[in-house]
Amino acid sequence: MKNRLEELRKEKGIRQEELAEALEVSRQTIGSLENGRYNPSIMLAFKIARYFNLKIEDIFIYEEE
Amino acid sequence: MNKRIRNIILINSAFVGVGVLLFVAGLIKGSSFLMPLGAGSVVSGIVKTMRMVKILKGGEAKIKEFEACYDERNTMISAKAGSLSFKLFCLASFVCSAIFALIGMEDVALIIAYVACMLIFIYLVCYWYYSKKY
Repeated sequence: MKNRLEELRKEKGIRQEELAEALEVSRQTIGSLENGRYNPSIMLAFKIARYFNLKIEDIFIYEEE
Repeated sequence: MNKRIRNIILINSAFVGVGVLLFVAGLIKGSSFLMPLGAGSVVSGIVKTMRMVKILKGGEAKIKEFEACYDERNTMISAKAGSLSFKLFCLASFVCSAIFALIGMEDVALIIAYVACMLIFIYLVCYWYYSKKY
């Protein structure tokens, strides 16, 4: 699933490690999320949305196959 | 104390206890299998316990870093690796059992087959349990 996580993180001026710490996940998970290799659970998606003060749909782009 | 760390310490303490018993049993019986098994269990349990104690002494930051290693992605990877390992083990058991039977070591083939069947049965019980739970 495509997402704007990297774009939003860079806009906020934070590193992957800082975002990982804030979301209580590992840095590798942030990396995998950003390059689309891993899709977050609904709980993590909500945490991410809350962190950036946006809706889930504004961060994760759902495209039907 | 963090629940995960506490559980790891408890489990490894049990390993140390069992290891000591195995070592002593091996010493009494003069078994060259039980003694190293017990010793290895003790050493492994102590090392893992010491690692947890070090993490606890490292404070909140270290504990958070430790917890992050058990996040959802790592849990998923662990589950996938376990699932694939199980499938490959079943396949390998089948092949090994057949090979041992072909070369005339049917006792060994039987043991391997029994172990594989037991694991498959355990898998079915676990599958049933989780299908009820979810």
